[in-house]
Amino acid sequence: MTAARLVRTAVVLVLPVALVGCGSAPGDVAVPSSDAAGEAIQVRSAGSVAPRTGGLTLPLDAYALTAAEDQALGRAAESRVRECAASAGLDATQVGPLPFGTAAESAAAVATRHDRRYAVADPEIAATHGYHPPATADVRREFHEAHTDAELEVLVACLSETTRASAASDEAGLRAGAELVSEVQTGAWHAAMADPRVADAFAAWSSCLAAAGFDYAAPMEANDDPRWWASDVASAEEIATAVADVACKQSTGLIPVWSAVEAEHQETLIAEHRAELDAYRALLDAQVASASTAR
Amino acid sequence: MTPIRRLTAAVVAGMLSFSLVSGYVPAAAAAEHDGGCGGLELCLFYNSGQRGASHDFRYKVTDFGPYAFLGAGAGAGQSVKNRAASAWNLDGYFTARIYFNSGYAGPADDVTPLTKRNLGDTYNDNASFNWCHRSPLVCG
Repeated sequence: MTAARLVRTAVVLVLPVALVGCGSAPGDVAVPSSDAAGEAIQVRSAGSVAPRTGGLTLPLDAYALTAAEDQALGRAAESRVRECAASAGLDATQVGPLPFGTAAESAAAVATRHDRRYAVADPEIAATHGYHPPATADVRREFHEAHTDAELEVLVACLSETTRASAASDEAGLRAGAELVSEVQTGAWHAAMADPRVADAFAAWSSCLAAAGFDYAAPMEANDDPRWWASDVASAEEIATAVADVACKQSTGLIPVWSAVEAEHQETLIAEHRAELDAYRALLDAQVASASTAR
Repeated sequence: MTPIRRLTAAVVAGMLSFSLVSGYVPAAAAAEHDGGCGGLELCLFYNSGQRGASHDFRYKVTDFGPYAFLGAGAGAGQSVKNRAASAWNLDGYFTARIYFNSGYAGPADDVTPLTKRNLGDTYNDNASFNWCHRSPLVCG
């Protein structure tokens, strides 16, 4: 065991105490009224019907961070992690790369976050990858593979404590809010699946696909066909199926119908949980404001 | 024993007790797909409450089909796909997002850093999983 490792171990042990002091007080932050949040939802949901899923927004997105908010939190967290790692004895060359995206990566990730919600929807992706998701940068794997295990011990502890510190005073509230958002998301998904308008759209899509020689009752049956998933690479048959699937999604207007119905059910569930969701949004806003003033 | 060796021995003993008390397992100790939950892994369990046979994943998976529950507990040998009841995320920073459908499609359950939970929507309906930044849950 090296002396540097001993120092790092000691610092990791005291991190929970040291980092709590770094968070700024949440009391001096303006939070939007619930009316403002309501307006934001209406604005966002008005544009939710898109020809493809690219750039799709759903009402529940009002309760997730925007790309700019993500960047503000990411930059604040990154500087905290660098300080933490330095005090744990890592030099600058041992700290990078950290798993924080650039502004462009944040923007792209937020814009495409619903791209696979209704499985493959883009003709070019279907023609190249079938139902498989195209390979994207795996920031977590890059982060792990760029560091020794000893470095990772320190960096993951620093990342974890930084997240805790940025949660300011209400880590439990943030977690409960995220869980509620997740529940609304799954609830609206299944409500849309049971909605007759979606059932009709699935029937039209299924007939279209049958005419092309493929037999599936619903889009996720085609996506989840076990024949595709025994391999990491799409077969010719998988690609042919996915191409016909996307063509039928487009010709029957499936995704605009499906996403609009899902958006409706999200809005219903959001209205049922308005107070809790607005309180969660206020916590997110406080987190962003605190990150912006901390730098 | 020299003073330095005595100091080293004392610190090693201290670290061991830290590991035992905190449950923190150094990353080096954990290989994925070995049936042991450790390091920076997501563990999926056949039964609720993190019981029964399990499987440990370090990196994202587009389809759970090829992976079986390991060990000797309930469910051992069966495919993890559509048979997981509970989860444990041992990563301190990334959220594990477990999807209803293959290839990260459809709705999902989140397992936040360093938490255990019974699966909700994806209970016995887990097809794939990805790692996401804690906020705003952008997945890699």
